[in-house]
Amino acid sequence: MIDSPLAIAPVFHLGPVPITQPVIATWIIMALMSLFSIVLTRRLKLRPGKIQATVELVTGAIDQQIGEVVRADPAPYRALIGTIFLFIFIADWSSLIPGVEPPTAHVETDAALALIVFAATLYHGVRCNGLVGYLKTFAQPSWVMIPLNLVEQITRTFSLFVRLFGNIMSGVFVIGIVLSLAGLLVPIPLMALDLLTGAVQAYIFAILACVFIGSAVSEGQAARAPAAAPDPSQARSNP
Amino acid sequence: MQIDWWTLGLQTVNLLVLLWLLARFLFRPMAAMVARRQADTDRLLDSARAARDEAEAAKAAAVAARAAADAERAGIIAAAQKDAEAQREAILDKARQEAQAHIADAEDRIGRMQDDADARIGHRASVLATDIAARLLAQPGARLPLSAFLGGLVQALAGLPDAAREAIGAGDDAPVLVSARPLGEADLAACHAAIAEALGREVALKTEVDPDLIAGLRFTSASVEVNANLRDDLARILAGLDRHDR
Repeated sequence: MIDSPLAIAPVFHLGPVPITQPVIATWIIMALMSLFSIVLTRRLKLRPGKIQATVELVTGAIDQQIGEVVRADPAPYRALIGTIFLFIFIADWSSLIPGVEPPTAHVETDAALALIVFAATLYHGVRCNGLVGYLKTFAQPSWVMIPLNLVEQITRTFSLFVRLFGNIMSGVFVIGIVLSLAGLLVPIPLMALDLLTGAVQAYIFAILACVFIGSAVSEGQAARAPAAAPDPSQARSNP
Repeated sequence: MQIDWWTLGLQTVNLLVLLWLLARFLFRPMAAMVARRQADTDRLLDSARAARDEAEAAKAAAVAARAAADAERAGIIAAAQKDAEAQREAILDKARQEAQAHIADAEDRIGRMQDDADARIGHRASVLATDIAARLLAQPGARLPLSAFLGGLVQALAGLPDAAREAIGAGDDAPVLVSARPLGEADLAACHAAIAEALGREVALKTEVDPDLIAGLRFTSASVEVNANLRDDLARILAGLDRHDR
Protein backbone atom coordinates (compact mmCIF):
# COMPACT_ATOMS: atom_id res chain seq x y z
CA MET A 1 0.00 0.00 0.00
CA ILE A 2 1.31 3.45 -0.95
CA ASP A 3 1.05 6.17 1.70
CA SER A 4 -0.71 9.41 0.86
CA PRO A 5 1.73 12.03 -0.28
CA LEU A 6 -0.16 14.50 1.92
CA ALA A 7 0.45 12.48 5.05
CA ILE A 8 3.29 13.63 7.27
CA ALA A 9 5.28 11.29 9.41
CA PRO A 10 6.54 12.49 12.78
CA VAL A 11 10.27 13.07 12.98
CA PHE A 12 10.33 12.51 16.69
CA HIS A 13 8.02 12.72 19.69
CA LEU A 14 8.00 15.07 22.64
CA GLY A 15 6.12 12.85 25.02
CA PRO A 16 2.79 12.19 23.37
CA VAL A 17 3.25 15.05 20.90
CA PRO A 18 4.56 14.06 17.50
CA ILE A 19 6.94 16.60 16.00
CA THR A 20 6.63 16.68 12.23
CA GLN A 21 8.82 18.18 9.52
CA PRO A 22 6.63 21.32 9.00
CA VAL A 23 6.86 22.09 12.68
CA ILE A 24 10.65 21.79 12.64
CA ALA A 25 10.86 23.91 9.51
CA THR A 26 8.61 26.49 11.13
CA TRP A 27 10.79 26.56 14.22
CA ILE A 28 13.86 27.16 12.08
CA ILE A 29 12.11 29.93 10.18
CA MET A 30 10.90 31.45 13.44
CA ALA A 31 14.40 31.34 14.87
CA LEU A 32 15.95 32.94 11.81
CA MET A 33 13.30 35.67 11.59
CA SER A 34 13.51 36.42 15.30
CA LEU A 35 17.31 36.48 15.26
CA PHE A 36 17.34 38.72 12.20
CA SER A 37 14.80 41.03 13.82
CA ILE A 38 16.72 41.27 17.08
CA VAL A 39 20.04 41.89 15.35
CA LEU A 40 18.53 44.43 13.00
CA THR A 41 16.52 46.41 15.54
CA ARG A 42 19.42 46.60 18.00
CA ARG A 43 21.34 48.74 15.51
CA LEU A 44 18.61 50.93 14.09
CA LYS A 45 19.84 54.30 12.93
CA LEU A 46 18.16 57.49 11.79
CA ARG A 47 20.26 57.23 8.64
CA PRO A 48 19.48 53.65 7.69
CA GLY A 49 21.83 51.23 5.99
CA LYS A 50 20.83 49.08 3.04
CA ILE A 51 19.30 46.29 5.14
CA GLN A 52 17.42 48.66 7.43
CA ALA A 53 16.21 50.68 4.45
CA THR A 54 14.97 47.50 2.77
CA VAL A 55 13.11 46.36 5.88
CA GLU A 56 11.66 49.86 6.31
CA LEU A 57 10.58 49.75 2.67
CA VAL A 58 8.82 46.41 3.25
CA THR A 59 7.10 47.59 6.45
CA GLY A 60 6.13 50.82 4.73
CA ALA A 61 4.61 48.88 1.84
CA ILE A 62 2.70 46.67 4.31
CA ASP A 63 1.40 49.79 6.10
CA GLN A 64 0.36 51.30 2.78
CA GLN A 65 -1.52 48.16 1.73
CA ILE A 66 -3.27 47.95 5.10
CA GLY A 67 -4.22 51.62 4.91
CA GLU A 68 -5.59 51.26 1.39
CA VAL A 69 -7.66 48.18 2.25
CA VAL A 70 -8.77 48.82 5.83
CA ARG A 71 -8.98 52.63 5.47
CA ALA A 72 -7.73 53.05 9.01
CA ASP A 73 -4.56 53.45 11.02
CA PRO A 74 -2.42 50.42 10.10
CA ALA A 75 -0.75 50.18 13.51
CA PRO A 76 -3.22 47.65 15.10
CA TYR A 77 -2.95 45.33 12.09
CA ARG A 78 0.70 45.78 11.14
CA ALA A 79 2.15 42.94 13.20
CA LEU A 80 -0.51 40.40 12.12
CA ILE A 81 -0.49 41.18 8.41
CA GLY A 82 3.27 41.68 8.30
CA THR A 83 3.94 38.41 10.13
CA ILE A 84 1.58 36.48 7.86
CA PHE A 85 3.12 37.94 4.72
CA LEU A 86 6.74 37.51 5.76
CA PHE A 87 6.21 33.98 7.15
CA ILE A 88 4.40 32.74 4.05
CA PHE A 89 6.93 34.44 1.77
CA ILE A 90 9.93 32.95 3.56
CA ALA A 91 8.24 29.57 3.97
CA ASP A 92 7.39 29.40 0.28
CA TRP A 93 10.91 30.37 -0.73
CA SER A 94 12.46 27.88 1.70
CA SER A 95 11.91 25.31 -1.02
CA LEU A 96 15.10 26.67 -2.62
CA ILE A 97 17.09 24.95 0.11
CA PRO A 98 17.68 21.33 -0.90
CA GLY A 99 15.89 18.88 1.34
CA VAL A 100 13.59 21.47 2.85
CA GLU A 101 9.89 21.18 2.19
CA PRO A 102 7.94 24.42 2.71
CA PRO A 103 5.74 24.33 5.80
CA THR A 104 3.02 25.98 3.73
CA ALA A 105 2.96 22.91 1.48
CA HIS A 106 1.17 21.14 4.35
CA VAL A 107 -2.42 21.91 5.11
CA GLU A 108 -1.89 22.12 8.86
CA THR A 109 0.30 25.22 8.54
CA ASP A 110 -2.09 26.93 6.14
CA ALA A 111 -5.05 25.99 8.33
CA ALA A 112 -3.24 27.45 11.34
CA LEU A 113 -2.71 30.70 9.40
CA ALA A 114 -6.37 30.78 8.37
CA LEU A 115 -7.48 30.12 11.95
CA ILE A 116 -5.40 33.04 13.16
CA VAL A 117 -6.92 35.28 10.48
CA PHE A 118 -10.39 34.05 11.47
CA ALA A 119 -9.72 34.78 15.12
CA ALA A 120 -8.25 38.19 14.27
CA THR A 121 -11.33 39.00 12.19
CA LEU A 122 -13.59 38.20 15.11
CA TYR A 123 -11.34 40.09 17.56
CA HIS A 124 -11.12 43.29 15.52
CA GLY A 125 -14.81 43.13 14.60
CA VAL A 126 -15.78 42.96 18.25
CA ARG A 127 -13.09 45.48 19.26
CA CYS A 128 -14.32 48.10 16.81
CA ASN A 129 -18.07 47.46 16.90
CA GLY A 130 -18.73 45.77 20.23
CA LEU A 131 -20.08 42.24 20.54
CA VAL A 132 -23.68 43.16 19.77
CA GLY A 133 -22.72 45.51 16.99
CA TYR A 134 -20.57 42.87 15.38
CA LEU A 135 -23.25 40.21 15.69
CA LYS A 136 -25.72 42.60 14.07
CA THR A 137 -23.51 42.68 10.98
CA PHE A 138 -24.52 39.09 10.32
CA ALA A 139 -28.14 40.27 9.90
CA GLN A 140 -27.14 42.69 7.14
CA PRO A 141 -28.86 43.47 4.86
CA SER A 142 -31.66 41.24 6.29
CA TRP A 143 -32.00 38.63 9.05
CA VAL A 144 -32.61 36.10 6.33
CA MET A 145 -28.91 36.43 5.46
CA ILE A 146 -27.76 35.24 8.89
CA PRO A 147 -27.20 31.57 7.86
CA LEU A 148 -25.46 32.60 4.68
CA ASN A 149 -23.22 35.07 6.48
CA LEU A 150 -22.30 32.43 9.08
CA VAL A 151 -21.50 29.92 6.36
CA GLU A 152 -19.52 32.62 4.55
CA GLN A 153 -17.28 33.09 7.57
CA ILE A 154 -16.41 29.39 7.41
CA THR A 155 -16.13 28.99 3.67
CA ARG A 156 -13.95 32.00 3.07
CA THR A 157 -11.59 30.89 5.81
CA PHE A 158 -11.57 27.42 4.28
CA SER A 159 -10.93 28.80 0.82
CA LEU A 160 -8.17 31.00 2.22
CA PHE A 161 -6.01 28.15 3.44
CA VAL A 162 -6.99 25.69 0.70
CA ARG A 163 -5.87 28.20 -1.96
CA LEU A 164 -2.47 28.62 -0.34
CA PHE A 165 -2.12 24.91 0.32
CA GLY A 166 -3.09 23.93 -3.22
CA ASN A 167 -0.73 26.34 -4.91
CA ILE A 168 2.31 25.57 -2.80
CA MET A 169 1.70 21.83 -2.50
CA SER A 170 1.14 21.48 -6.24
CA GLY A 171 4.34 23.34 -6.97
CA VAL A 172 6.31 21.06 -4.69
CA PHE A 173 4.73 17.96 -6.19
CA VAL A 174 5.31 19.07 -9.76
CA ILE A 175 8.94 19.83 -9.08
CA GLY A 176 9.37 16.49 -7.35
CA ILE A 177 7.74 14.61 -10.22
CA VAL A 178 9.75 16.45 -12.86
CA LEU A 179 12.92 15.97 -10.90
CA SER A 180 12.26 12.23 -10.66
CA LEU A 181 11.51 11.94 -14.36
CA ALA A 182 13.97 14.41 -15.94
CA GLY A 183 17.49 15.56 -15.32
CA LEU A 184 18.94 17.62 -12.53
CA LEU A 185 18.57 21.07 -14.15
CA VAL A 186 15.20 20.58 -15.82
CA PRO A 187 13.05 21.65 -12.82
CA ILE A 188 14.82 25.01 -12.50
CA PRO A 189 12.27 26.95 -14.60
CA LEU A 190 9.51 25.32 -12.61
CA MET A 191 11.26 26.29 -9.39
CA ALA A 192 11.46 29.89 -10.57
CA LEU A 193 7.77 29.75 -11.36
CA ASP A 194 7.21 28.24 -7.93
CA LEU A 195 9.03 31.20 -6.33
CA LEU A 196 6.79 33.62 -8.19
CA THR A 197 3.76 31.61 -7.14
CA GLY A 198 4.91 31.63 -3.54
CA ALA A 199 5.42 35.42 -3.52
CA VAL A 200 2.04 35.99 -5.14
CA GLN A 201 0.32 33.64 -2.72
CA ALA A 202 1.92 35.38 0.25
CA TYR A 203 0.65 38.70 -1.07
CA ILE A 204 -2.83 37.33 -1.77
CA PHE A 205 -3.12 35.71 1.66
CA ALA A 206 -2.06 38.95 3.39
CA ILE A 207 -4.37 41.10 1.29
CA LEU A 208 -7.32 38.78 1.88
CA ALA A 209 -6.62 38.87 5.60
CA CYS A 210 -6.73 42.67 5.36
CA VAL A 211 -9.98 42.50 3.41
CA PHE A 212 -11.63 40.18 5.98
CA ILE A 213 -10.52 42.31 8.92
CA GLY A 214 -11.41 45.53 7.15
CA SER A 215 -14.82 44.14 6.28
CA ALA A 216 -15.49 43.15 9.87
CA VAL A 217 -14.41 46.60 11.06
CA SER A 218 -16.25 48.65 8.47
CA GLU A 219 -19.52 46.73 8.28
CA GLY A 220 -20.35 47.53 11.87
CA GLN A 221 -19.68 51.20 11.24
CA ALA A 222 -21.82 51.07 8.09
CA ALA A 223 -24.62 49.42 10.06
CA ARG A 224 -24.54 52.26 12.63
CA ALA A 225 -24.55 54.90 9.88
CA PRO A 226 -26.80 53.51 7.13
CA ALA A 227 -27.15 56.90 5.52
CA ALA A 228 -23.45 57.02 4.77
CA ALA A 229 -22.45 55.91 1.32
CA PRO A 230 -20.72 52.53 1.34
CA ASP A 231 -17.09 52.38 0.30
CA PRO A 232 -16.71 49.92 -2.58
CA SER A 233 -13.21 49.02 -1.46
CA GLN A 234 -14.55 47.85 1.90
CA ALA A 235 -17.34 45.69 0.56
CA ARG A 236 -17.51 42.10 1.81
CA SER A 237 -15.67 39.94 -0.63
CA ASN A 238 -15.15 36.25 -0.95
CA PRO A 239 -12.65 35.65 -3.67
CA MET B 1 -6.82 14.70 2.82
CA GLN B 2 -5.61 13.99 6.31
CA ILE B 3 -5.06 16.58 8.97
CA ASP B 4 -2.60 16.04 11.76
CA TRP B 5 -4.26 17.85 14.61
CA TRP B 6 -1.12 17.90 16.71
CA THR B 7 0.71 19.62 13.88
CA LEU B 8 -2.17 22.01 13.39
CA GLY B 9 -2.10 22.95 17.05
CA LEU B 10 1.66 23.28 17.17
CA GLN B 11 1.70 25.41 14.02
CA THR B 12 -1.00 27.65 15.45
CA VAL B 13 1.00 28.12 18.62
CA ASN B 14 4.18 28.59 16.59
CA LEU B 15 2.59 31.26 14.44
CA LEU B 16 1.17 33.06 17.45
CA VAL B 17 4.59 33.02 19.05
CA LEU B 18 6.14 34.27 15.81
CA LEU B 19 3.50 36.96 15.67
CA TRP B 20 4.46 38.10 19.17
CA LEU B 21 8.19 37.91 18.43
CA LEU B 22 7.99 39.94 15.25
CA ALA B 23 5.66 42.44 16.84
CA ARG B 24 8.06 42.77 19.77
CA PHE B 25 11.39 42.75 17.95
CA LEU B 26 10.67 43.91 14.41
CA PHE B 27 7.54 45.89 13.73
CA ARG B 28 7.39 47.89 16.93
CA PRO B 29 11.04 49.05 16.81
CA MET B 30 10.77 49.75 13.09
CA ALA B 31 7.60 51.76 13.56
CA ALA B 32 9.21 53.62 16.44
CA MET B 33 12.25 54.38 14.31
CA VAL B 34 10.11 55.58 11.42
CA ALA B 35 8.05 57.70 13.81
CA ARG B 36 11.23 59.09 15.35
CA ARG B 37 12.62 59.89 11.93
CA GLN B 38 9.32 61.49 10.98
CA ALA B 39 9.40 63.52 14.18
CA ASP B 40 12.96 64.59 13.47
CA THR B 41 11.99 65.48 9.94
CA ASP B 42 9.00 67.44 11.19
CA ARG B 43 11.19 69.17 13.73
CA LEU B 44 13.76 70.01 11.07
CA LEU B 45 11.02 71.24 8.78
CA ASP B 46 9.56 73.30 11.60
CA SER B 47 12.96 74.74 12.44
CA ALA B 48 13.62 75.41 8.76
CA ARG B 49 10.21 77.02 8.47
CA ALA B 50 10.89 79.05 11.59
CA ALA B 51 14.30 80.03 10.23
CA ARG B 52 12.69 80.96 6.95
CA ASP B 53 10.04 83.01 8.75
CA GLU B 54 12.74 84.63 10.85
CA ALA B 55 14.77 85.38 7.73
CA GLU B 56 11.70 86.83 6.03
CA ALA B 57 10.97 88.91 9.12
CA ALA B 58 14.58 90.10 9.18
CA LYS B 59 14.32 90.87 5.49
CA ALA B 60 11.12 92.80 6.05
CA ALA B 61 12.74 94.66 8.94
CA ALA B 62 15.75 95.44 6.77
CA VAL B 63 13.48 96.68 4.00
CA ALA B 64 11.57 98.82 6.50
CA ALA B 65 14.82 100.13 7.98
CA ARG B 66 16.09 100.90 4.51
CA ALA B 67 12.86 102.69 3.68
CA ALA B 68 13.12 104.63 6.94
CA ALA B 69 16.75 105.46 6.16
CA ASP B 70 15.76 106.60 2.68
CA ALA B 71 12.99 108.74 4.13
CA GLU B 72 15.36 110.16 6.74
CA ARG B 73 17.99 110.82 4.09
CA ALA B 74 15.39 112.53 1.91
CA GLY B 75 14.32 114.60 4.91
CA ILE B 76 17.90 115.54 5.70
CA ILE B 77 18.56 116.45 2.08
CA ALA B 78 15.36 118.50 1.95
CA ALA B 79 16.27 120.26 5.21
CA ALA B 80 19.81 120.87 3.95
CA GLN B 81 18.45 122.23 0.67
CA LYS B 82 16.05 124.45 2.61
CA ASP B 83 18.85 125.69 4.84
CA ALA B 84 21.11 126.23 1.85
CA GLU B 85 18.34 128.12 0.12
CA ALA B 86 17.75 130.25 3.20
CA GLN B 87 21.47 130.89 3.54
CA ARG B 88 21.70 131.75 -0.14
CA GLU B 89 18.79 134.15 0.20
CA ALA B 90 20.36 135.67 3.30
CA ILE B 91 23.72 136.01 1.55
CA LEU B 92 22.03 137.48 -1.49
CA ASP B 93 20.04 139.92 0.67
CA LYS B 94 23.16 140.90 2.55
CA ALA B 95 25.12 141.29 -0.70
CA ARG B 96 22.24 143.21 -2.19
CA GLN B 97 22.08 145.47 0.86
CA GLU B 98 25.84 145.94 0.84
CA ALA B 99 25.76 146.66 -2.88
CA GLN B 100 22.94 149.14 -2.36
CA ALA B 101 24.90 150.72 0.51
CA HIS B 102 28.00 150.88 -1.70
CA ILE B 103 25.95 152.34 -4.50
CA ALA B 104 24.38 154.89 -2.18
CA ASP B 105 27.76 155.74 -0.71
CA ALA B 106 29.26 156.01 -4.18
CA GLU B 107 26.35 158.15 -5.34
CA ASP B 108 26.74 160.28 -2.25
CA ARG B 109 30.44 160.64 -2.84
CA ILE B 110 29.83 161.30 -6.50
CA GLY B 111 27.26 163.91 -5.52
CA ARG B 112 29.66 165.48 -3.11
CA MET B 113 32.41 165.36 -5.67
CA GLN B 114 30.02 166.88 -8.17
CA ASP B 115 29.06 169.57 -5.69
CA ASP B 116 32.71 170.22 -4.91
CA ALA B 117 33.48 170.35 -8.61
CA ASP B 118 30.54 172.68 -9.17
CA ALA B 119 31.66 174.84 -6.24
CA ARG B 120 35.20 174.95 -7.55
CA ILE B 121 33.99 175.72 -11.00
CA GLY B 122 31.68 178.40 -9.61
CA HIS B 123 34.47 179.78 -7.47
CA ARG B 124 36.79 179.86 -10.47
CA ALA B 125 34.08 181.51 -12.47
CA SER B 126 33.54 184.06 -9.69
CA VAL B 127 37.24 184.65 -9.36
CA LEU B 128 37.44 185.00 -13.11
CA ALA B 129 34.49 187.36 -13.09
CA THR B 130 35.96 189.46 -10.31
CA ASP B 131 39.31 189.48 -12.10
CA ILE B 132 37.60 190.58 -15.27
CA ALA B 133 35.68 193.21 -13.36
CA ALA B 134 38.83 194.32 -11.61
CA ARG B 135 40.72 194.60 -14.89
CA LEU B 136 37.88 196.46 -16.49
CA LEU B 137 37.51 198.82 -13.56
CA ALA B 138 41.26 199.32 -13.51
CA GLN B 139 41.16 200.72 -17.00
CA PRO B 140 41.74 204.48 -17.00
CA GLY B 141 38.48 205.17 -18.73
CA ALA B 142 36.51 203.27 -16.16
CA ARG B 143 38.04 204.80 -13.04
CA LEU B 144 35.45 205.70 -10.46
CA PRO B 145 35.67 209.01 -8.59
CA LEU B 146 36.87 208.99 -4.97
CA SER B 147 33.60 210.42 -3.80
CA ALA B 148 31.92 207.16 -4.79
CA PHE B 149 33.85 205.41 -2.02
CA LEU B 150 34.33 208.18 0.51
CA GLY B 151 30.69 208.24 1.50
CA GLY B 152 30.79 204.57 2.28
CA LEU B 153 33.96 204.98 4.34
CA VAL B 154 32.42 207.75 6.37
CA GLN B 155 29.25 205.83 6.92
CA ALA B 156 31.21 202.78 8.12
CA LEU B 157 33.28 204.83 10.54
CA ALA B 158 30.17 206.52 11.84
CA GLY B 159 28.58 203.12 12.43
CA LEU B 160 31.47 201.98 14.65
CA PRO B 161 30.87 201.72 18.40
CA ASP B 162 31.82 204.84 20.34
CA ALA B 163 34.70 203.13 22.12
CA ALA B 164 36.18 201.93 18.86
CA ARG B 165 35.72 205.36 17.33
CA GLU B 166 37.31 206.97 20.37
CA ALA B 167 40.29 204.62 20.19
CA ILE B 168 41.11 205.64 16.65
CA GLY B 169 44.02 207.99 16.61
CA ALA B 170 44.33 207.99 20.41
CA GLY B 171 47.80 207.66 21.89
CA ASP B 172 50.43 206.35 19.56
CA ASP B 173 47.87 205.12 17.14
CA ALA B 174 48.44 206.54 13.69
CA PRO B 175 45.59 205.69 11.32
CA VAL B 176 46.55 204.93 7.74
CA LEU B 177 44.48 205.85 4.77
CA VAL B 178 45.32 203.62 1.80
CA SER B 179 44.19 204.60 -1.67
CA ALA B 180 44.43 202.86 -5.03
CA ARG B 181 46.08 205.86 -6.58
CA PRO B 182 47.98 208.71 -5.13
CA LEU B 183 45.57 211.28 -3.75
CA GLY B 184 45.62 214.86 -4.87
CA GLU B 185 45.44 217.72 -2.50
CA ALA B 186 41.74 218.16 -2.96
CA ASP B 187 41.00 214.53 -2.54
CA LEU B 188 43.18 214.29 0.52
CA ALA B 189 41.50 217.30 2.08
CA ALA B 190 38.11 215.87 1.32
CA CYS B 191 39.13 212.66 2.97
CA HIS B 192 40.42 214.49 6.10
CA ALA B 193 37.23 216.40 6.35
CA ALA B 194 34.98 213.47 5.90
CA ILE B 195 36.91 211.30 8.41
CA ALA B 196 36.96 214.11 10.93
CA GLU B 197 33.25 214.47 10.52
CA ALA B 198 32.71 210.77 10.97
CA LEU B 199 34.96 210.53 14.06
CA GLY B 200 33.89 213.85 15.42
CA ARG B 201 37.48 215.13 15.73
CA GLU B 202 40.56 215.60 13.73
CA VAL B 203 43.04 212.76 13.48
CA ALA B 204 46.41 212.66 11.84
CA LEU B 205 46.41 210.39 8.87
CA LYS B 206 49.20 208.68 7.06
CA THR B 207 48.57 207.92 3.46
CA GLU B 208 49.67 204.94 1.44
CA VAL B 209 49.00 203.72 -2.07
CA ASP B 210 47.97 200.20 -2.89
CA PRO B 211 46.99 199.66 -6.54
CA ASP B 212 45.52 196.35 -5.57
CA LEU B 213 42.53 198.19 -4.20
CA ILE B 214 41.67 199.03 -7.86
CA ALA B 215 39.62 201.97 -6.70
CA GLY B 216 38.51 203.43 -3.37
CA LEU B 217 40.01 203.65 0.16
CA ARG B 218 41.03 201.54 3.15
CA PHE B 219 41.19 203.06 6.61
CA THR B 220 43.25 201.11 9.16
CA SER B 221 44.16 201.81 12.77
CA ALA B 222 45.38 199.73 15.65
CA SER B 223 41.92 198.29 16.27
CA VAL B 224 39.89 199.10 13.23
CA GLU B 225 40.06 198.43 9.52
CA VAL B 226 37.41 199.90 7.27
CA ASN B 227 37.37 199.10 3.59
CA ALA B 228 35.62 201.16 0.96
CA ASN B 229 37.23 200.00 -2.25
CA LEU B 230 36.53 197.80 -5.24
CA ARG B 231 38.89 195.06 -4.10
CA ASP B 232 36.89 194.69 -0.94
CA ASP B 233 33.64 194.94 -2.82
CA LEU B 234 34.76 192.31 -5.30
CA ALA B 235 35.89 190.11 -2.43
CA ARG B 236 32.49 190.41 -0.78
CA ILE B 237 30.78 189.73 -4.08
CA LEU B 238 33.01 186.67 -4.58
CA ALA B 239 32.20 185.42 -1.06
CA GLY B 240 28.53 186.00 -1.71
CA LEU B 241 28.69 184.08 -4.95
CA ASP B 242 30.51 181.24 -3.27
CA ARG B 243 27.84 181.07 -0.55
CA HIS B 244 25.18 181.11 -3.16
CA ASP B 245 26.81 178.30 -5.13
CA ARG B 246 26.96 176.14 -2.04
